[in-house]
Amino acid sequence: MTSPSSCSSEEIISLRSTAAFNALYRRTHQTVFRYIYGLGAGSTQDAEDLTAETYIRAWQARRRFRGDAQAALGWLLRIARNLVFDRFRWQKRQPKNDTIETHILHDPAASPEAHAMYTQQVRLLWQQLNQLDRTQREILVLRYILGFQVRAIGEYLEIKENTVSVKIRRALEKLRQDWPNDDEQQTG
Amino acid sequence: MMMSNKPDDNQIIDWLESVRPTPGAEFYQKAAHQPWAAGEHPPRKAGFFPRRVAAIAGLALLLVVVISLTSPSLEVLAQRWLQFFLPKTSDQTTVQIPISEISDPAGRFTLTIAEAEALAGFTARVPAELPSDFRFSGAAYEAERGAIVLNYMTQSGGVLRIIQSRAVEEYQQIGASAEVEMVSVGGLSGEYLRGAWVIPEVKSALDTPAKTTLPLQATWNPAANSQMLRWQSGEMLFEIIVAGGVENQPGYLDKEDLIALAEQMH
Repeated sequence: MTSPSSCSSEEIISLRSTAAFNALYRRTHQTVFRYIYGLGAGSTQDAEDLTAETYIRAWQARRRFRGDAQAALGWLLRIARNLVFDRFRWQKRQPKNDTIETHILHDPAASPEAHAMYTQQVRLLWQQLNQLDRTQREILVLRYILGFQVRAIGEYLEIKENTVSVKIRRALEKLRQDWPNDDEQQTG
Repeated sequence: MMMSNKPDDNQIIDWLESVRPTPGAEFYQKAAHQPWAAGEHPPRKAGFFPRRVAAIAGLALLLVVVISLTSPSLEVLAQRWLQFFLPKTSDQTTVQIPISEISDPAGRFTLTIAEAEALAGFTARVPAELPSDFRFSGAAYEAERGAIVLNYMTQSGGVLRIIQSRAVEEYQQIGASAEVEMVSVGGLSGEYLRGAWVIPEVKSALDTPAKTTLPLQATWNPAANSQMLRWQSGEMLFEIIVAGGVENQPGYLDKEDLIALAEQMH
């Protein structure tokens, strides 16, 4: 499969050596963590645990890996995704995440009131993401949290670019339509 | 009555893009014990703060502040006539910085250049030849500015960053006492200055949980060991920041070195 983040070197890399794997880890761990967190794995601690587990599994399987740097990232993301979805299966429901406010970039010039309001909206958005199906959510995470281009998302998920665009549009539309009105926000 | 206050797509996208989760210090401490980290330096013990680490953290913080203080504002027209910098009315300012960027300053440079290019949607210019002692340590993509940041370091803690974006209507905020010098970069007009925003309480900030974002007071220090060069080529804005080198020692770059570096980027 062609990985996300296209345009990088197509040179085949070996992950057999400790140094090579460590370099891969250093280059990708932030992306893998954000992906796991974005998929709704739970709290920061949960996402950290699953990120660590992703690299442990990759380390164990590193001798079987063959591909370039792009493929390595795609490989890691697939391991991560399987771990997250496995966890969902066991827990039967989306784990609670009460740490989102610690991961929001704020405008330094914003007033405390605006800051609080912004945090509230992002927290609400994070809850609403649970209303999306897995693919919709994953595509939004790849596009807007990891910053992947539509083409790269299509390559990673092995679907057409046009399909990715349609899914993004529909996911945003669903979020808009299902957004609770003010009364529901206050009581919810 | 049901009230309608639903966000539009742009608001939702803005909120999504503001979520930038980062692993905490505990994650990195555990990672240091994984088998692939063998041979790396052991994690810092709690409360142990060697001078060199402090210097590097302080330096990195200084750079983070410089980088984060960009502004699309046109206030510059009402102040000194500069093309790339926006002097503030004082030498004091407040910045919001995720503590993780202080405790692990190089942690965000996890991309290859090609990966950063893919995210940014343009091809990065890189130096044809690196200054001696500097080595590439990683790239980052700053979604807020649409910028690619290339990070280079020396063994002695010198840092060189090359930032490039299409955001030509963006100004770098500097202190009121900053002195900007007009220079020529390959026939293009550029601006050079020495100094940086410095955060005095960097050490105490490191004692706070890594996941938080703190408002910190920063002071413009015109004597800080940091230099900046900005210029524009076509629709692209370029910036080089160098900090931490020791004058007359390997790895130190002066104004002429920065201009020469800028002119051999392609």
